Amino acid sequence: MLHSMCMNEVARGVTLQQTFPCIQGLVRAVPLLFVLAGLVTGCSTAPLKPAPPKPAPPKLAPGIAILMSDRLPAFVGVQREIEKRYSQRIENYYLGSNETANSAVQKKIQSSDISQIVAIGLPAAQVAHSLSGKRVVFCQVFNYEDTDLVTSWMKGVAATSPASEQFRVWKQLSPRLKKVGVITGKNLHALMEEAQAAARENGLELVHVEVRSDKETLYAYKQMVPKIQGLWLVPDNRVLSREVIRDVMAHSVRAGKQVAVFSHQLLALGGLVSAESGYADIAEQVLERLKQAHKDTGAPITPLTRATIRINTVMAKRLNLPIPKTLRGLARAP
Amino acid sequence: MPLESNSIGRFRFPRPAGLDRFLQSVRRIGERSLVSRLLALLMLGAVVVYLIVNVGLWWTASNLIDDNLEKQAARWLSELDELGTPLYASHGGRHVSNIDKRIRHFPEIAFIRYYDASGKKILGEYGDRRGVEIPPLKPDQIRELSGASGTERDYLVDRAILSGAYLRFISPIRVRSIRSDGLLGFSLENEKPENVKVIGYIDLSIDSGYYKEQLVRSIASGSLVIAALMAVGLFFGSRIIRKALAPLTALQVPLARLAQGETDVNVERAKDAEIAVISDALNTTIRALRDRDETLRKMAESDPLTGLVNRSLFRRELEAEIEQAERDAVPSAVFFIDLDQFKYVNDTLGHAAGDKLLISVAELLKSRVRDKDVVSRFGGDEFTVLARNVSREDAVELARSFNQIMRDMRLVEGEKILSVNCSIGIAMIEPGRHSAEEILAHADMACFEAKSHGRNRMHMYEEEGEGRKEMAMDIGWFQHIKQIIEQDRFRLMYQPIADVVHPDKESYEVLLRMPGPNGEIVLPSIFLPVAQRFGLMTDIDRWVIVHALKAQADFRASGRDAIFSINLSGQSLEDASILQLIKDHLTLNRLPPNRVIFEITEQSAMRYLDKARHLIQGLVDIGCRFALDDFGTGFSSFSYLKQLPVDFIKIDGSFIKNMAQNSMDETMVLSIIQIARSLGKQTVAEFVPDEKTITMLKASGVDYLQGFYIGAPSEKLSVNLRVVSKTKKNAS
Repeated sequence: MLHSMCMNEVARGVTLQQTFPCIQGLVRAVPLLFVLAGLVTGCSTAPLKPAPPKPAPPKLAPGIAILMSDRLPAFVGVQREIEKRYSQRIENYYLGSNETANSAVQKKIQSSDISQIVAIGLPAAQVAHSLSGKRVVFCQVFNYEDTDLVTSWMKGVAATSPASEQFRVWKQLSPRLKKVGVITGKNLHALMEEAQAAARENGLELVHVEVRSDKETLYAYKQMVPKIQGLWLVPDNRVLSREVIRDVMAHSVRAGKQVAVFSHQLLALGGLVSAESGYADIAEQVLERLKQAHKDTGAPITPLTRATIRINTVMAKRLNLPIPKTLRGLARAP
Repeated sequence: MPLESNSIGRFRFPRPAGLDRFLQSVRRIGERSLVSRLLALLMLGAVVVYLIVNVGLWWTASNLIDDNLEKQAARWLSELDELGTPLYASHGGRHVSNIDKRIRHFPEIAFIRYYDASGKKILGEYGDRRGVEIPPLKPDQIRELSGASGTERDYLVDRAILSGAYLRFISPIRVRSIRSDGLLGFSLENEKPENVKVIGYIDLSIDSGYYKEQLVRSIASGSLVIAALMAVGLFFGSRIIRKALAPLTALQVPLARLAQGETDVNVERAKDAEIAVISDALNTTIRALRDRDETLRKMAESDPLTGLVNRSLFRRELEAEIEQAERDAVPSAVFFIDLDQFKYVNDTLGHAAGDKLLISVAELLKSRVRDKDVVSRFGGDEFTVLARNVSREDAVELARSFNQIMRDMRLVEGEKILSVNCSIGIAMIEPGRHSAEEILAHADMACFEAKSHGRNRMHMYEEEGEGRKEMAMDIGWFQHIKQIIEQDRFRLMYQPIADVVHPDKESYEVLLRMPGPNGEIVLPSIFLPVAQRFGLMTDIDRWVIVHALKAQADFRASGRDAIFSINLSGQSLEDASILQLIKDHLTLNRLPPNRVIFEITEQSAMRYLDKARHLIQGLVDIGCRFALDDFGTGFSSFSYLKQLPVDFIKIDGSFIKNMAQNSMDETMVLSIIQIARSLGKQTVAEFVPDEKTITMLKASGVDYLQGFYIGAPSEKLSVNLRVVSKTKKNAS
């Protein structure tokens, strides 16, 4: 319940600290509660024998290693935000296209005394997955389920902005919106669960179709179009190609369908509402996840807390959707 | 084939029926029309353009079809790529694909096949021709389309399947996906390569023949339309051309008439400058021709010496006047004027003086008559005058004035002063009574009466006069002769002429005989004077020439190479066409000209000396020979022998038949023979009566002998046994 409450707050795009100051206290109190629980347990039992000496926790070298899949702006942006917020030592490692070089990087990280790794991007997460004795938080990875990245010592931060926020704005913009389609590849259960919940919360029915290729994406969309009012286009690269993205957007415009897109760039192709995650938000969640260290038994993926939303005024006009005053700040004409 | 007579009594060979039409049609085949040639060129150009357009259309359209099909195929492939998704999205996805429905409306799509990624297994087949044996995909095609060869192609075109009947397009079905990090920080301009995978192939075959059949039908119907338009264009084009060339074609009729000999043609002046020049030139030429025709007509109808109209024109004027008199019922008069003793002037002062005299007489007569009257030189020294609308009394008065002016006329020739008188016969033209020949005969008879009563006077013909009976008889003979000519009933006989030196050579004089009204044979001495009086001699001469030459050719064909002597009258000397007639029939009968001798009497030759010279020379030029007949009866001057290119002198029979008994005749004959020989001419003795005369003639050096004693005239060529034997006997 607490988790749901927290998640709801996250869905609203505000920080936990701001909305629930008690949460902060709760967070701080958790370790104390564990201690108390331990004491009670110890006290309630028979005279305690002297507990065996606990192993000493490993020595954690301060600092983090950031392993970058590439020098894409999406990765570098996160890296910089992390660097802004992390005051201790940061070691940056970069993967390339050369398997041998990547292998060397992997060895280097393995041999490093830094135990906390931030893997940005799927290739970096995959390389980090093979490390041992390290703690890894990955980010900017969309299809983590497909590659089984999550382990007890490897967790992630969501790559996409919270669906609830996008749906909330969308529903506010289009009150009559009821049925929305979404087409993804396989193994996006967590994202779909989140999306379904967000949809229900906003009075939407989410119709999910799994496909195996971009070709099937287009085909499935055209089949789906008569039954839906809008499409939630998620950034599943496995089933999207630039050509199909254009075809889907063009078909949507012709069919008069509303499309919520994952990039502001896609507003120019006929998207109605776009939502992007921010590098700062990602960096904060990564660092927060790192702080949990060995005690991190939380959800595999930490959701992002905020989203940058934009509304395409041209499509809104075309679809006869007046922009409410509260949302006018989000309106843009691409 | 009997000879035909034309309107003026000339004879000719009749043409077979239809020959003229046939000749005309043959001539037309060879002719070319400018309009037809232009139209033919126009049509040829149109046909060439039509063929080029059709061929060009077919070739261009065929290529266009192939190009368009290729472009269309590219679009179809894209559409089929999407439509075929269920086949690759699920097993047995055929039932959910709309391909059958979609391609139903495109009959040019022969078949469609979807292959799996290996290119070997067929996932789905569509199209109504999918049962056709289609070769599977080749490994090199799969390699090229899958990108394994390093190149990525959208499709391949195979034009060789089923002998080119189909266009085959093979396209890979590709799925693409953005790289794992490609959607992070997504940008439309980001052209990073995507992951591409070929999951199958589309095999699309298009039956280009379907469109090409449509094309052929379209071209065929278009061709019909074009052909129809061209036909319309040709039709109007021909009209336009004809109209444009109308000024030229307008020249056709007048030119054709001109070619026919008509000169009363006027060519309308064309408005076009180029044609106007031609029409002006034509009109100028026509005027010149008309003038020349007039000149020639005048020359043909006038006497060259005196300028008076000639006999034939006078006769026509007389005929016209007779018709006029019948209409107007007003009499006119014909005067027959014969100069008295003209031969004396000719003989004593020479031919030139005689011509001068004739000219002076002509001028006097013309000065005495009115413009509407006609004066003609009828013969050597004969003149006729047609005085229109005169009474009997006026005619007599006029005749007397003629006599007077002749008496008063004086002609100075050298030191001599010439004068002649004339005898005049008058015949009145009374409406509806007599023909032109009869009137002339009346005037001639009246003139004869005047002469017989002492000359230098006139005599009016009277119906009840003494000459009436004789006239009636002559007219009867005239009509009979005409009938004989028209019925072609004259008969020819051949009298042998013996060659003294070469008795084996055959030579014959052609003699004319006429069947009489009762079937009897009439001698020329009976009917020829009448024929001469009534102007039939020329017709008789023409008949004789035609038939004699034909007979000679027949005899030659049967092996008898005989020489023929044919008589010509003095009147034939005035017929300009007689020479051409002789030439034509020599050619027609393939006779060597040197086997024909023409005879003319000495008197006729002297009377028409110029014409005689002209005719004789003409005949000599073509190779014929000439004989002067009845020589010795005219005058005693031999000077004319030097001027006339004759080959033979036929000594008049009056000298021959008595030479055995009369020394004067003997001397004449001898003189004639000697002079003839000295002039290089041969001699023929006529009317040889007996052996003694033959002996004398042979001793005198005569070349040829003729007479009943030598051989009688016969309708067949006789074998001159008697002549041969006699001459041989005499020679021995």
